[in-house]
Amino acid sequence: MSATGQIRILSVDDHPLLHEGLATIIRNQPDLLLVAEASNGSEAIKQFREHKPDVTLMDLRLPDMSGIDSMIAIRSEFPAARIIILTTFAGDVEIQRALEAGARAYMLKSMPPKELVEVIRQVHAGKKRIPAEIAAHLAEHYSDESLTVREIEVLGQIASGNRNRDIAEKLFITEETVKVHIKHIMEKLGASDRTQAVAIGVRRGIIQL
Amino acid sequence: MASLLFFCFLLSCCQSARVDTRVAGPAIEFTSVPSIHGNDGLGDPSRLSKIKGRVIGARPGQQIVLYAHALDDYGQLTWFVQPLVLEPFTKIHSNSRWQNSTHPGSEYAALLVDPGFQPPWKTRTLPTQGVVVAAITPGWPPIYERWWFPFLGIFVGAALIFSFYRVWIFQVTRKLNLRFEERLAERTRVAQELHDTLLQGVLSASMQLHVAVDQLPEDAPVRPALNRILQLMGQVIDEGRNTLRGLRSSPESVQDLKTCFLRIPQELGKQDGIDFRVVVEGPTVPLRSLVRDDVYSIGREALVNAFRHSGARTIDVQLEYGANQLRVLVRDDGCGIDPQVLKSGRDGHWGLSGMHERAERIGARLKVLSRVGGGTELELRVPGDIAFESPTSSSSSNWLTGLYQRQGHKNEQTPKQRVG
Repeated sequence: MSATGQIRILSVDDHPLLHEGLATIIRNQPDLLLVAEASNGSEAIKQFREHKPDVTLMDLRLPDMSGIDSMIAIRSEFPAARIIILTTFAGDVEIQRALEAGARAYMLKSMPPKELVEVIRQVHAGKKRIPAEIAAHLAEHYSDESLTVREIEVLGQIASGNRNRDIAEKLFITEETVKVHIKHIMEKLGASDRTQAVAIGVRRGIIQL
Repeated sequence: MASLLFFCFLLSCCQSARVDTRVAGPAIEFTSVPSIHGNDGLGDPSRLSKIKGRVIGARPGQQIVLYAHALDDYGQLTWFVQPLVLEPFTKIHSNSRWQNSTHPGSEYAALLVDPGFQPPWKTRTLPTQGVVVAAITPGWPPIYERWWFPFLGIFVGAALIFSFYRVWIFQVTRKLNLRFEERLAERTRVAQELHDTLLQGVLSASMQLHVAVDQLPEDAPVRPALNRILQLMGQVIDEGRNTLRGLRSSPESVQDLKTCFLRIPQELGKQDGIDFRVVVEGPTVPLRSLVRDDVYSIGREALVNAFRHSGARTIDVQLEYGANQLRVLVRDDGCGIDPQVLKSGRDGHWGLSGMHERAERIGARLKVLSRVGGGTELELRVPGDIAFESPTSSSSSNWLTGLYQRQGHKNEQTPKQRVG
């Protein structure tokens, strides 16, 4: 906490417009202070070391690494870091991974600013916060079988419009193996074809756009 | 499989060569005889053709002597030894086959002779002394005059048409698959851009507007208007996010076309007084999702037209899941579409051009029949290979089993017919 008793905040997001929005919200709260901004994962780690903020707002989609990886890096150095994931989408897999990696809260950018401010205060007070909307997403797929690392890779390749043959080449496996992976992916996600598998994967946060 | 059949067929044709032995013991058989085509039986010393055959039961040392029946210089039918006077003998190979050349004749004779036999170089009647067995055959008709030729023609024709059809379907599905991949990549790209620019911008604007509104006095006159704007922005964000999240506006819910079509009148707020029905025929087979999207969009457009503009009292949707195609029929008894509009297809009001574009994109055929005052009927046909998801997509070897399975499903669905 700063000398004036304000909560010092680091905001991590690659969109300048969003920084502007967050800055406006924070500026309007006398007990909050925006001390630094970062536009990618490694910059976030650097800024954290320098400013040691009380609360960090972290976007999941960053140009160099995922927000979760950046968070893990920060927390390995500063285990007490209080980080709030602030993102556009609510996918159950993302939420789960974020919470497992030590996020104190998971917020959507579309939630009312008042709620965001409230969550920042609560997290700063040492609480964990998962809004009801987010919790519902989490519960929906709680017992679903999760995809393996390889299957996630394959799904990501499908999403970027690769054919089986290209995927096989890129991942150094045979086309047959790719087909088997795809079969398992579709079974686990309950998808009826590739397009749907990608749609479900994106919605649940298994792969990012 | 087809080539095997064809081979058996040819084999059986070859074996129809005549054998001129009715008693047990040594026998001679022709397997290839010159064609009688262009052969008037006059003999032609300048031409040689192949003649082949087999011998059963020949003893070592025995040989074949060949004769051809042709007219001699006096116009008499005479047997001439073949192929040459100085080379009258034909060797029998270890596999009991023989072959040689012969000049053309109306008939051919093969004689199995003992060692030391002296064949006459020309004779009115075939020698019998020292001849073990003899076989005579006329020149064979040319291939196109044989009895089996028409059948062969039909068979080859059918096989050709069939393989062309397969190749065509294969190419169409491959092209479509490729286009699907492209569309998927394109969607991903567009989604990324929307996420990066539009959505983040609107989110930021909404945040700032929230803060600004909060600073206004409770009774400020602009407050309601600004709150309305905030509410709208929230809706835009939600819709944009949903579109991005599912890469399409109606995820999974389009799974079942019937349910989706049934939901449309509610969406339009026009369910009163119109008799609306959706009938499904045949077992519901999963559709490829991009095809499903387009079929849904076309059907939806047709229904929107029917509900909004036609003034119809009954509207029917028929979904036919056939073995070879998906057929969607949308019918109403409304005012119909002006034939001018139908022909040009350019009127944005009816969304006809969009429907045609979508249909073309998925390799489907769209027909719109309408008369002023006589209702409208829209028919969409999507080939099964394109519409239905196959377990092993784009593998052409399994298409037959796929077809049978599909038909099998159909039978299971209608047990009554089978019992009867």
